[in-house]
Amino acid sequence: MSPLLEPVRHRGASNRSAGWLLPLSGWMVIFYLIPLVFIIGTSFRTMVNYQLTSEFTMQNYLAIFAEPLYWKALRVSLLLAVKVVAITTLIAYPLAMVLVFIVPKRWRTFFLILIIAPFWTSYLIRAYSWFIVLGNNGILNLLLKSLGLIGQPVQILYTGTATTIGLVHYLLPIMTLTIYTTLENIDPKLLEAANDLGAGGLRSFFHVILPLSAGGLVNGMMFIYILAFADFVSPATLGGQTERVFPQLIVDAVQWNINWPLASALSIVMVAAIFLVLLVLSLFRNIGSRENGGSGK
Amino acid sequence: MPEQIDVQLDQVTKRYEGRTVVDRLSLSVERGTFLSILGPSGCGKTTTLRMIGGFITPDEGSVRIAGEDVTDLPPSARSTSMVFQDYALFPHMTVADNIGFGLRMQRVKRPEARERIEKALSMVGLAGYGRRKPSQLSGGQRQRIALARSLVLHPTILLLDEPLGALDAQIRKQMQFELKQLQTSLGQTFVYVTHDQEEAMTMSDRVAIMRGGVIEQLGTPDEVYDHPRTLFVAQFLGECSSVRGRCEENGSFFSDTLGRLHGRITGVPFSGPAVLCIRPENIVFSPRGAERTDHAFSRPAVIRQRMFKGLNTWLCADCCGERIICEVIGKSALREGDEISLSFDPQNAVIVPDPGEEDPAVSGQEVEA
Repeated sequence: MSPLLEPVRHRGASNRSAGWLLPLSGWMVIFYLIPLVFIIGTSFRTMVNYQLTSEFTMQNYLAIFAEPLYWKALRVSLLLAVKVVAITTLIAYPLAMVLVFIVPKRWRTFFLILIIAPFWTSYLIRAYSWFIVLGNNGILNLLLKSLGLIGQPVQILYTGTATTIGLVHYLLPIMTLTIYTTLENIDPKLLEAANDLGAGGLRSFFHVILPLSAGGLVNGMMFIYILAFADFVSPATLGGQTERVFPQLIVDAVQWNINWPLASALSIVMVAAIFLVLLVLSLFRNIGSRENGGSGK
Repeated sequence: MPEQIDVQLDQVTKRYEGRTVVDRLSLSVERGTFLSILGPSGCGKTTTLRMIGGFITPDEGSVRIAGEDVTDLPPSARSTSMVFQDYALFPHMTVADNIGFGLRMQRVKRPEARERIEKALSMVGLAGYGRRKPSQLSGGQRQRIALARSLVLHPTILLLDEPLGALDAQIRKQMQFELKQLQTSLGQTFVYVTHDQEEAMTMSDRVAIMRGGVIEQLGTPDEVYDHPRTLFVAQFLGECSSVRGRCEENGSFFSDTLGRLHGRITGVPFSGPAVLCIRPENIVFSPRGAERTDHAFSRPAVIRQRMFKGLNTWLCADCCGERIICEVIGKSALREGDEISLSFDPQNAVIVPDPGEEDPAVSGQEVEA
């Protein structure tokens, strides 16, 4: 088709996409909106004798905001999520770049399989496998000791560090694949053009690769942020009791206190906290997309 | 002192996995020349262009640009600039930022850069388009922006890799005209890669016809069209009827079908298996009994096919088992099955060595039905 028609085709595509949204919105209503409404409803109730009462109350929220334990957990979760996002990005981006720009095409599938392979193992098992590495008599401590770097084993297991390691290990493939896809979509001719116009590797990166991958990068960061914030497995297995994360408190409310309204209210607070950060991140993405060919005059 | 040589390739060779793509190729381009490298796909023309631009390093040989050996320099360190086939405009930048990219890399001061961008835009007829995004432009407009982005840097050589390939026929014709005009007015050296012989003929000062990694012939469009040295060059540059036979060094040609005639050997004189090539416009088909008397050579023939193409009519005749094509301006009164007499001036018939049956590209060149 003639490139002349391209702008027209673009407009056509965006009209059609409205129709495609229908099944998607059906999915959202059934699996997201309805449960959310239930949780919101439950969060304004109380429980008496293991039965939900019908009266409306703000009690759960007031209790949460008055309790420093929850504030602390919120802070721990937020810091953990941000840390995990930062570390996965710093590892995944260079990794994806090596895959796309350095590894020859015929080897890429092999490396991609290596990256995806951990997904074939249960997350729980992967988390527990870190015991062998991080424990006081684990591989890491034995190695450090045999090198004479430490006398006493370093406590890593049951700390926030172990949680972070577990989460990064869990989420790295997702982030790498997301960035890989974005980078692979960049036309190599653009890099040749940049080089031809006088840009070396570093300037090509900042002027071409980074702006063109910003959308995928922010998407990946949002995804990792949500998963890291809401994760329960790594903190519960690898983390200790001193730095408990917000999802752990929700599980406590359900399992120990059997207080569903409180658990619901905690969930709503967590969703709100996640959403707030996403809002800020999406602002960045919008700025990026306006630069990256949004509609002008 | 001869003319300034802008590009000099010396015995350049490039191999991919044991296959030689460009084979000991030497080429020099004088300043201000529009050189086209013409050839079928896979002939090594793009590889050659990319070696001039620095995107590919040759395995052997050297590349000189304006006298300086740049064989091992990357594209960013060469004073060449490439216009890519699919434009390769940065989609996240405005038209002005695209054109200004190279200036920014050279750290040209902003006011000067702005001025040069404006000038480049108006040079390609797109003044006022600076704030648009590439996605808002048509193919032809994008092509012009790609051109402006390169020319704004005042490169020693502009390299163009089939830049009009993605455009439809009408815009392509117009762009050919504009490109040539721009090249002439700037006195800029162009190295232009294409597989379209008409494109190469219309725009170029010189044409290099490539095949199998070597330049088969290099010359002005007139030279290569009228004096092809090989059957491949003769057939690649346009329609021609070919008759197999034998020749002597003095240009005497004999075939079982046409008999004996005296043609012209354009390359090195030789004797042995040869092919006689006659361009359609050099042949006259006349009704029986109305033969041309000024042509030294004529034979009876029968019209097999007639194709009216608007501006001209193509007639295909069977002459003693040979397929001979003739071009007539406008309509022709001749019809399929008509008995005619074909005649031509043997001095317009070119004798080239017979390449044998080796070449599918040659036998594949037939009139489109």
